This record gives sequence, C-alpha cells and structure tokens, in this order.
Amino acid sequence: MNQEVTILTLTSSTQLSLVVLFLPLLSFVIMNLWSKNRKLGSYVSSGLFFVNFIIAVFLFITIWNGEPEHSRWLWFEIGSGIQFTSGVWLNNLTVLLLVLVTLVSFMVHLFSLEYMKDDKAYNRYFSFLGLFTFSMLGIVLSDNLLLMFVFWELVGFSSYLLIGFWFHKETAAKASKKAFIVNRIGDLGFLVGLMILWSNYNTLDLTTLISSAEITDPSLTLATLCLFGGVIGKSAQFPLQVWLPDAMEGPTPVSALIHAATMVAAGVFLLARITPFIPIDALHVIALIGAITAFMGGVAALRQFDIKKILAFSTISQLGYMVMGVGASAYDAAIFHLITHAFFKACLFLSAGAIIHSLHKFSHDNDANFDAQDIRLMGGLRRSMPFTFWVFIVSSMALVGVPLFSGFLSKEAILIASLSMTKGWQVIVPILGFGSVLITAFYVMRMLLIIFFGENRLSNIINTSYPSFSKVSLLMKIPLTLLAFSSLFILFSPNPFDGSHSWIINGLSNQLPIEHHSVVPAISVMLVLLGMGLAYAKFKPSSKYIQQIHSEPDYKNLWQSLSFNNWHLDAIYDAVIIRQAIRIADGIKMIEEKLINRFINYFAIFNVILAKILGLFDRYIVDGLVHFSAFASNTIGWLSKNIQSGKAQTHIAWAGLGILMIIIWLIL
Amino acid sequence: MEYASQLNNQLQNTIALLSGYWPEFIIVIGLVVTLIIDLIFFNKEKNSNWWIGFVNLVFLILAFTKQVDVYSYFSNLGEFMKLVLLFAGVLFIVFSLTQTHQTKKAGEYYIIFNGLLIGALLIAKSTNLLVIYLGIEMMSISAYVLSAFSFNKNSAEASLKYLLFGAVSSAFMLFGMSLLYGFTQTLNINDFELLHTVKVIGDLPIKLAVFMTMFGFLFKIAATPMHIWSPDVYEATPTFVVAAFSVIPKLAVFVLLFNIADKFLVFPEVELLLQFTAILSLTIGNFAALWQKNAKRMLAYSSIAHTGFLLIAFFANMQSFVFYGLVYLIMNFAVFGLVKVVEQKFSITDIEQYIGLGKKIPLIGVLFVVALISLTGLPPTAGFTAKILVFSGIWEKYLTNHNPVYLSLFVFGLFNTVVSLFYYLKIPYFMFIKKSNEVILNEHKSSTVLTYLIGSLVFVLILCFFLPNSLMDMIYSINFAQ
Amino acid sequence: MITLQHFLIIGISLFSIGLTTVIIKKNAILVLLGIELMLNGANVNLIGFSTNDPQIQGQIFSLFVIVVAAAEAVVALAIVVRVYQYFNTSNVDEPKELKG
Repeated sequence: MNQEVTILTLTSSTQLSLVVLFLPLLSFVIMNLWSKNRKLGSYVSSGLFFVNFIIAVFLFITIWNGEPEHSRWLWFEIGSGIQFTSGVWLNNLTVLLLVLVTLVSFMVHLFSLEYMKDDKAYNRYFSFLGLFTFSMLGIVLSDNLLLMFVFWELVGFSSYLLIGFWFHKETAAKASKKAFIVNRIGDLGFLVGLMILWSNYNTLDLTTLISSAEITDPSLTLATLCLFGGVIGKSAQFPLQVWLPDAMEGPTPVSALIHAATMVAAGVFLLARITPFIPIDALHVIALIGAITAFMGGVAALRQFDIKKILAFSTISQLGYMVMGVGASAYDAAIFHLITHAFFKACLFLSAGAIIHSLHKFSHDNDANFDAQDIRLMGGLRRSMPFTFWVFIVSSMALVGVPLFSGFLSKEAILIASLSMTKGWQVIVPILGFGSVLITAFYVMRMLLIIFFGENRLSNIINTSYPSFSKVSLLMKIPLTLLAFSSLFILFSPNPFDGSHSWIINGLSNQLPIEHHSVVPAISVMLVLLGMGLAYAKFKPSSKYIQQIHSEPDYKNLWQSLSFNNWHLDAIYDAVIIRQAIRIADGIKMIEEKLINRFINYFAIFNVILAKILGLFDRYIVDGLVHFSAFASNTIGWLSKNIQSGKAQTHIAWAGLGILMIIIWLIL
Repeated sequence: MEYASQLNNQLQNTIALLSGYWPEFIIVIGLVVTLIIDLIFFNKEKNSNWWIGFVNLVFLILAFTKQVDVYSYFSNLGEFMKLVLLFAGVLFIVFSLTQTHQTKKAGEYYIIFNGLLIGALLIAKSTNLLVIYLGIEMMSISAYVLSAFSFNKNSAEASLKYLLFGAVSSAFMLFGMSLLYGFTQTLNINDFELLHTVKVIGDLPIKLAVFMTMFGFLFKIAATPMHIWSPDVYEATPTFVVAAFSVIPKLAVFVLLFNIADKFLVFPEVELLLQFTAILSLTIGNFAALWQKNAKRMLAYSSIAHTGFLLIAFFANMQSFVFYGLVYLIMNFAVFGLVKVVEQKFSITDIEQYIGLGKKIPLIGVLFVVALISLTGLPPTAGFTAKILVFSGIWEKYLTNHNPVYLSLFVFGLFNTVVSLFYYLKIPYFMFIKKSNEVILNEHKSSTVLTYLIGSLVFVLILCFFLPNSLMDMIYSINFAQ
Repeated sequence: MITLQHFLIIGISLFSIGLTTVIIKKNAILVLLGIELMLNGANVNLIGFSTNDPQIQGQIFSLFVIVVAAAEAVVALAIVVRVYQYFNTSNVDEPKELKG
C-alpha cells in the first residue's frame, strides 16, 4: 500500500511558526556560546523570547477562527515508497498553545533574571530553558505523531536536565532520574501506539489519520490507549504521577514552567490532538483515570507541609480534571482548563518562588538554618509580603474555582461535561470530580491560612523578634502581576458565571456550545464554600492546631500518613516492582554463575586443548610470517624515515637520485 | 585605421574574456585593500588584526559568490575546483580569525595567503606553460614565506629547506618547460602534438622534458620522490597554514593534471610514472608515519599517503577524485584544527603527551576520533564513502582494460588503508585508553568558536556518509566532458 | 654563426653547474647562486628556442622568469638572514633539528 504523500508548500504563516520554533533553539545556542558575559546573554535571550511571544501573538491573530494552515514536506524515505513526512499544522488549538507556551516561557525568563542571578551556572540555566521551550513548541507545531514523539522525548530529556539542574544535590539528581525513567515507561506505550497506528494506516500524519481512521476499529482502541500511556507518563496521571512531586527539586521557575505551560501540558495537548479518532471505550478509560488522578492528587495535597509539594499535588489533581474532560468528550473544556490553569499555576509557583527566595535570603543573612519551603515555619506573611499575598490569593481563588476567577469558568465546563457519564460504573467519574472540588477548596484554604495569617512562627526557632524580608523586586513583580491578572475571569469570558460561552471553547469546538447549567455551578460553589469553611474552622489563626503547628509531626494517623506519602505509591512501587526486579536479576545472575559458567568452563578446557595444537602451528608457521612482515614494515618505515636526514642538500640529492632512478627505470 | 579597429576588436575580446576572471580580480583587489589597511592601521588600532582578517574574508566571500556565477556559466571541472579552493580559503581565514590575538604580522599573513590562493586559482584554470609557471611560483614563494610564520628556530630552518628544495624543483620544471617549448614552438598545451613531434625528434628528449615538468608538479602535491620537504615544513609551520598547504596547492595541481592529461599522458611511461609515484607515496607515507612521535609530522606523512590516494582517484575517474578531494579538504581542516586546539590548550604536539586528554576534553577527543576514522576511511564517515568510490572506480577501470598496474594500485591502496589504521588510532589510543600517571598540564583557554567550527566540519563528515547524495548531485552537475 | 645547438649546450651546462653547486656548496649564498644558474640555464634554452618562433614567446617567458627569480631571491635572502639570526651561520648544513 504505497500511498503517495502530498507535499504542502510553506505559507507565510507556517514559515513564521518555524521562526517561533527555532528562536528558543537560537537562544540555547547563544547561551552556550556566550559564556563570558552572563548578564548580557540572559537579557538577549529574554529579548528573544519576547520577540517570540510577539510573533506567536501575531500568528494567533492571523489563524484564530480563520482557515487552518498546513505545510508538509518529505522527511525521509525508507526503501521505495515508504515515506515519512514532517510538517507544521496551524489551527486554533496550535496557535492557542503557541501563545501560552511563549508567554509563560517569557514570564519565567523575566522572573529568573532575578531569581537565579546569584547562581553559578546562570548561563546553563538559561540555555536549558531555551532547549525546553524549543522542544515543547516542536510538540505543539508538528503535524504528525512521529515528529511529535521526537520532540516529546526532547521534552523529557530537557526536563531531566532542568530538574537535575542542581545536580550536586543528591535529591535533585535522584528526582531527575526518577522523572526520566517514569516518563520512559509511559513513552514505551506511546511508541507501541505509534507502531500499531503505522501498521494499520501506513501513516502517522495527524490530518490523514483523522480523516481515514475508522472509529469502530478495535485496534484503534488499543492504539489510542497506548498513546494515552505516554500521556499518563508525561501528564503525571495515575499510576505514574509519582515523578511530579519529586520534580520540585529543580529551581522554582522551572517548576512553574513544567507545571504550567510545557511538560505536563504536552500530554493533554496530545490527547486534544488525537481526540477526533479516540473510540468511545478508550474515552471512558481516559475519563476514569483522570477522575481517579484528580481525587488522589487532591487527597495527597491535604497533608503536605512543603509549599511546593502542595502545589505539585494540586497540579496532579488539576491535570486529572483536564484528562477527565477529554475523556468526557469535551476536549475544548479541557484545553480551556489547561490555559486558565497555566496562568494561575504559573502565578502560584512564581509567588511561592518569591516567598522561598526571600526566606532563603533571610536564613542566609541571619545564619539560621531552616527549611525555606516548610509552611509550618511561615505564617503571618500577609504583613511582611503584601504584594505576594494578594497575588497568591488571586491565583488560589482561581485554583479553587471561586466565581469571578478564571478557574471557575473552566472547571465548571469540565464538570458539566462529566455529567454526561452517568451509566453504570461511569457515575464514579462525576462523583470523584465533584469530590475533588471540595478537597481542593479545603487544602487551598489550609495553605493560605497557614502561610499568610496568624503570627510569624519563625520567631519560635530563631531569636529575632520580627523578621523583615527583602522586597520583591520589580523584575519579579511584572510577571506576577500579569499572571495574576490573567487569573481573573475577564480575559476569558464576559460572563463571570458562565464559562461555556467563552471564546476559547467557541473557537475550539465545532459543536454547539454546551447548554448552560445552573445546577452545576450552584453545587460546586456550595462545595467550595463548605470546603473553605471546614478549613477555616480547623486552621483559623486562633485555633489550637495552629498554635501548636510549628511542632506538628509529618503525620499522626493512618489517613494522614496516606495523604502525606501520596498513597504510599513510592513504597508500593519499591516493594512490588523495584525489589522484585532486583530479585529476578539476582536469580538470573545465579543461573548464569551456576549453569552457564560451568558449561563455559568445560568449553574452555576443550578450547585449551585445541589451542595447544593450534599454538604449535602458530609458533612455527604463522609467527614466522608475522615476524617477517613486522620486520619488513619496520624496515620500509625506517628506510623512508631516514631519507629525512635533516640536511637540506641531502634532501635535494635524494630527490635528484629518486628522479634519476625513475627516469632510468622508465626509459630503459 | 585598419590597425586601430583591429586593436579595438582585440581589446573588446579581451575584456569579454576577462569576465571569467572576476574572482581572481576581486582577490587581487582584496589583497591591495588589505595591504593599504595594514599600512595605515596596523598596531595603531586595538583590533587591527581582526579587522584586517575580516576585510580579507569579506573579499574572499565576494570572490566565492562570483565564482558561483562563473561556475554556473562554464560548469567544468576547473571552475568547480576553483570553487572548492575558494571555500578552503574562506575556511582558512575563518579559522585564522579565531586566533587573531596570536597572529603576528596579521596583515602580511593574509596578504601572502591571498597570493597563494591566486596562484592556485591560476593553475586550476590555465593550460599555458607561462601561466602555469607563474601560478606555481606564486604559490611556492607565498608558501616559503608563510612557512616562516611561526617565528621560531624550527620555522626558519623549515622555510630554508622548503625554499631550497622548492627552488631546485621549480628549476627542473622550468628546464622541462623550456624544452617542451622548444619541441612544440608553443606555450599553449592545448596546441601540443607530442606524438607527432616524437616522429621528428625521437622520443627520449620529449619524455625527458615531460618528466622534468612533471616533477615540478609532483613537488607541489608532495608526492614521492618530491615529498621530502613536507614533514619538516608541516612540523614547524603554524598549524592552520599547514592545513591550507595540505589542501590548496595539492588540489590545484591535481586539476592541472586533469587539464593536461590528454596531452601529456599520451606516453604510457608518463602514466606509469604517476602510477608508480602513487604506490611509492602511499607506501612511504604510511610506513614512515608509523614511526612519528609528533602529531603534525605524522599528519604530514599521512598527507603524503593521501596524495597517493588522490593519484589513484585521478586514475579511477573524475567524480571519485572530486569527492575524495572535497572530503580530504574537510577532514584535513578538521584534524589540523583539532591539533591546533590541543596545541593551544596545553602547548603540546607530541602524540605521547596526549595521554589521558580524552577525559579532560572529551568533546575534542570525540571529534578527534571521528576525524581520524574518516582519514583512515572507515564507516560511518565520509572518508569511507570516498575510499569506496575510489576503489570501485579503479576496479572498474581494471575490469575494462585489464592493465595489471590498475590491479596493483587497487591492492596497494587497500593494503595501505590497513597500515594507516595503526598510526591514526594512536592518537585516540593515547587520549582514551592508555592509563596515565596524572601528568599535570597547564591549561590555557582555547577558542570555543573554533571548536564549534571543527564540530560542524566533523558533522559534515558524518552527514556525507549518511547522505552522500547531496554531494554527489553537486559533483554530477559538473560537465566532465569539457 | 651561433646556432641553436650552442644555445642548448650553454643552457644545459649552466643547469648542470647550478645543480652541482646547489648540492655541493655549503654556504647559503652560493647555493642560491646555484639556483640562479639553473634558472638561467632554462632561460638560455627559452631564448634559444624562440629564434624559430615568430611570436618570440620564449623571450617573454624568460623575462617573467627573471622577475620571478628576483622575487625568489628576495624571499630567500630574507629567510637566510632569519636562519643566521637563530643559528649564527649561513651554512645550509647546520640547521638540522627537523628530521626523521
């Protein structure tokens, strides 16, 4: 089946999108070459990202709600007729993500200028950011699954570099390794899925697949589920979500990038791209996994004391929502949530970074040794860091899904979509979805109360009456303000209570907008209020719990332990997989020592006897030849080398003699 | 009036013909401009070294683009190789620009290099004895001066030897040329009717004349027995200049050999001379290289051996020669660049001092391995593809004419490829495998840009192995019939 | 009457004397003189042969050779001076550090 591949020429828009793709790579190269002037280099690269963002916005304006543009060219050819293409496919989804990725990336650059300014490997950091963004943009732009897979792996690799950025810290090195390996497990699924698709359809081109794949094909269910395996790895879904909390070991701006715009978004983006040909059975599985992840992530966030870990688990939970949205056939809502989440989560991470930054600086200045990320030691920051406080509040409200904030709109859209799944066991999906709303409200409120309200608890461990923190600098303020503003409803929908008419959903879906429910928002607002109220009751500044919190242990009972240890998943994997694998390996090693080695020994004895016989042959016949040829080559080399006596005239005489000899030999 | 209009016609014709010489003109103009800049600014401005080189580079690139036009008009081998020579020139200047702070007397350095390049371009194009002589002398005299540019004892000695040897061999060539002129009464090789002349004069004088001329050419390509100058010169000369020496004059003279082949190779003895030289160069180059301790000297012998391979390619076919020449250019620039990087970083050129460097500078080490594998002619590098082309070409030649000499060329080529493995791999052996007793070397800064440049050259070497088609397409665009 | 034969005899004699000088003499200046002799031997040949050539290309060639020889002598003398600075001798035998 040799189908001729149609080549689609470059248009001005697709050329421009290639510029967008390669500018971050240019930044990577520049930062590598430009090792001398650290300040200037990073400003140049931030400038490049700004330009990149501007181009992306321009592309967005041209493509959005217009005609999709597609360019494709021959990539390589195996044998005759087996052609692989690569290309750029710009449609609404692409340009939306393009703007998101470039914007968040630019923000992270701005923020990092200040955050990383004292780091030794400043240049390396910025160059890796460039590589990371480049790979993510590659995923967004590519028009076929194979090319996407290439960039997918690049994202994995560059995240490995960034998570392990402080590789001299053992935890960071371990975390990067873990992220890499866990991602590989998922990618195996991706690869198998690619193979199945190729063998069935002879193409990996997305547009061709969408038009030619038959939704009823059972192998398609398998293939898409395999692809979903890749998503499970990259977007941290159950059961592979264990890498994401550990990935916090990287610099905080990188966490913002990973959680908001790049890495984890890649999985959801892939689902959105292939959603036209995911069969309904596969969709149900996807929705279930998403709901489970949302719930588990939320529960795990309940009892964390590390500020970044709380945010990490909340990311897992929110990603669960997105995947659930795709599974409930509402990929538009999922992408909508992806966008809003990107903004408020980036904002949360960057402001958490600001808090950590100043606490760290404080601990450094006062020679006090404490964990700058432990919320048990914070408290009362509302007064000392008012700007960060307001930004944090705004973005947390978006995360909880309080009306007037962006998270409300997108979360409602997903919840409404999930209500379509009510048959049999599927009912578990909306139940878990709504349950997670309650949990989210609870843990966010807990976090806010502990961090910002009450008294400052640092004075409990060090002898300063009231610590003063360094001001958040302007370079950090700009991105924070912008991102916090983007967490308001106004950017996404004119109606603060109805997300289903948002321009993003209108632009993405071809079907009519979902009917406006009034029940769902009502229920979820009630749940939010309930969760926040419960949290307030327990964690209000005057409560007994808070008074004692600085000496609170990690966990006291089974449930707290379950939450703190993320459902003991790491321990389970260790017991079930890692130890078993080591045991099997030991067993194989034993077999080899006992069985194979013995056989080899006998074989060796036989060989020795044979060798003795051959040796005699060798010594007298082969060696003679070898010695002769070694002698000959040495002689030739020695002779030719010694023509070179070092005296100029001798050289001339030798050459003259050579000429004479050749002439005589040839003519006579 | 009659005479005036005739003169006018002739002038018009001349000017029309000159349009093919734009690249040479541009280089001459560049040379003069560089000279003037050098006179005015040298040592007065802080970055004068860099500016001089840069201005020169601009002119060379201009000449290169002009040459692209000229080539697209004529599209014969000579014009193509001129393109290659100009590329080598650009490469040389770019390489040198990364070292501006070290270059002494930068103005003269670039000007004299331009002289060498013009000589090479003239040779690649001409079939007139006078122009050939002038071209070769331009290259030689520039080369004598350039070889003294290390400004140390060894360099002075090497340039003296080079000069004496070169002058004698060019005297031989000139004497041969004078005889050829006498026998044919013309300086234009295309008008030669040597076989016809043989009937009048007898064959011994003519063959002698051809031989003597040939030896002058062999001197420039460093083929045995005229190779003796090259190891000394390579060892003592600045490394980039060596890279240029090993490529530019060689390729130019080979093009000359192609241009005059149908006139000079009418005698079987002349053909035999070249084939014999090929075998001798291969053997002596490779075996003497086994003994060398200095990396640059070893590469000098290796380049003598490569002359042998180029001669085999000369006998195989033009396509394989062009491919081999191009690949040879890239590998030589890469490997000499690497030698330079190590020389600059640790001030060492002895192979035994390379011990344990693989761990200190792994990137350089890996580049070294790939470049040397390519020089040996093993996959996955373009050196392998080039050797395959040459060997299959010569084998086909053997199958068509059953001349045993072709068979022996084939056998010697293969045999020497094996021999070359031993000395090329000596460098990776010392860098990576041999255990060192932690000799502490002073490390200096070296140019990152240079490393990246070399890296891209090495990348091209690997690329040409996997995708030789693009290069082959370029080569097949040459009209070989002309 | 001077015939072509005379030219050739002088030419080849000059050439041979030059070659011998180059190989035998130790002083660099004398060696350079030998090279000049070789070139001039070729020059005599060229001029002699051009008697039969109406375009006298040989004579033009020899003019060029003289110019080139002058250029070569300039470079050669410069190099000899350099060598003298380093080795304190103008003997071409003395510098023999590069070998093998």
